[in-house]
Amino acid sequence: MIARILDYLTKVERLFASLLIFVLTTFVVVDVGAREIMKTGIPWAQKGAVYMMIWAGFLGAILVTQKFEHLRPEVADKLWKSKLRVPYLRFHNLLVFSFSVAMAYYSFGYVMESKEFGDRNVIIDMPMWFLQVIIPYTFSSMSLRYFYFIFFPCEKDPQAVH
Amino acid sequence: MSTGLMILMALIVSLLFGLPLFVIMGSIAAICYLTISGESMAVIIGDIFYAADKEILLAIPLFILAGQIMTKGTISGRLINFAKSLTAGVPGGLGLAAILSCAVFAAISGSSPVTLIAIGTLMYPALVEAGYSKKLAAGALSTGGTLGIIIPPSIPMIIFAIMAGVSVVDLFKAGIGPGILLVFLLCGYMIYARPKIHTTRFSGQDFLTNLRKGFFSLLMPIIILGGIYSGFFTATESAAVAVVYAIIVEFFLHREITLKKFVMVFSETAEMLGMLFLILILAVSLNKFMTLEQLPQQMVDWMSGLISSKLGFLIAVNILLLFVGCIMDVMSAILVLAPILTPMAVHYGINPIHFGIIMIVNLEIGYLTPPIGINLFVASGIFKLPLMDVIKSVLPFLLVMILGLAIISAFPAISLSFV
Repeated sequence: MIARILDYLTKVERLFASLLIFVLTTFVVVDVGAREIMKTGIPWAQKGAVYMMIWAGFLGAILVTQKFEHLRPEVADKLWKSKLRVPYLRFHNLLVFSFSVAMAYYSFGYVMESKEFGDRNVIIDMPMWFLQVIIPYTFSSMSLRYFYFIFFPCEKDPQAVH
Repeated sequence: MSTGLMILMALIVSLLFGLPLFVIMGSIAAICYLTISGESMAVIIGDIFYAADKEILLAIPLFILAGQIMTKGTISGRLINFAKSLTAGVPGGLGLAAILSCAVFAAISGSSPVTLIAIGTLMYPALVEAGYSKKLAAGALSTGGTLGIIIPPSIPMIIFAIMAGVSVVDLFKAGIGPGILLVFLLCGYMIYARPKIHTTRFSGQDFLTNLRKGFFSLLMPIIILGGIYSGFFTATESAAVAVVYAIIVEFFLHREITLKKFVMVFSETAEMLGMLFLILILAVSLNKFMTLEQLPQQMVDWMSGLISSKLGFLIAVNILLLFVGCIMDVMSAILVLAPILTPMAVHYGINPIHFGIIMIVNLEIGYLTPPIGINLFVASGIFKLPLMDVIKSVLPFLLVMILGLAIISAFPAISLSFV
């Protein structure tokens, strides 16, 4: 049940992240083209692309979490073999879950504060909290995944190469 | 409990349990802010949003995207055929073709393991069939694959520029000379170590055919580097041009990328961006804290007491970075060490751009050194060789790379004459 929900969530996040990469690329290309050809750029295009990149980067971090592919030191991996492997993975996930929950909590507070102060981005004329809301979402989504991994630990695909 | 002790404990737990780097960075930043500045974790959240809100960062997803699009087709085969026809008639020509193919493909893909897989899968059987020993073939391809991060455009260079506060464009320009030097040295070794086999004859017809087939792939690094070098493009603009060029070549000229593959490319780009993004912005937060507390300056003062000369510093820093390359991946090492080591290098009179190149070449060598040299594991997998054999195969190439590193460190003009 939880696995299916996470799977569904991952598909939505993947779709959204891919769309963001596509749109941000279009924005930058059109802006550069306009600047080089018509000698006048689109004032909001680069800034808009930066915020899309921020969203895509955070969503990408969730996708990487789902695949267990975050960069990490692997020097002590060999210490945890056979019987110790599963308890190790559970504790590993518990620690990352705790960090993600703390980040989700503080980022939610940060966004609420930003909303309260009415901060706006003048270039794209948008409230800052709307742009920042991806931070608590990311850490909440990651917390959910790491919570699931505590009970159902899994590992990085050894064939994965980036 | 003192801050130092808390950081040490956090590091031990992180290493012992293999925690993701973003957790390590975030935890250390949190400890520093909480205990030294008396601030809450909310400061880190503000920092990471501020760190991410930079236009230069746009170059990262765009270069990743361009590399992903270009590597979905049969570009590796085209480059190999061109390199083979170019080096036909030269003793050890096939070995040279392997290195040259790796260099050009690396400039396009920007990824060392991907270069090794793409070129190695096609070139290894060809080298072995032509009479090259498995050891020489595996060593050449594993080493050639590492050229990806020194030949611009290179994501590690963008990360270094952000962390050290230097110009990405200058760093790209500075990578050209060392990249060419390393290619020359590796080619030189391949000629020296070549097996005694019959050299194929150069054919003008073959050369022209393969040049025509590989022309548009070969043109990409020339357009990007030419644009940057002439001052026509900024880093972000060159990344945008790279994407447009990649789409034109793969969709309309080579016609080798399907719509399904094209859609997948965006998702893969988001994942690769996600892998770097959190670590990068948390590292910037930690870096901001260190700057506020003047930690790099304190490290410089401490180091000045230990090492008095520029040469002494260069030797020490190269040994340190070679060691770091053995135990950390390139991105992590740059994020952690660039903000600390660059002010020290500047203190000893080393140009920060030159230092960036030294750091990247050191970490490039780390792709070939156990226990985490990723190219060793990739080579062992794709060439079906025991890991120990691959490690032995790269040893002579490691010496060549270290010679290159020494030359690059000793002669700043190799890097800086293009800047």
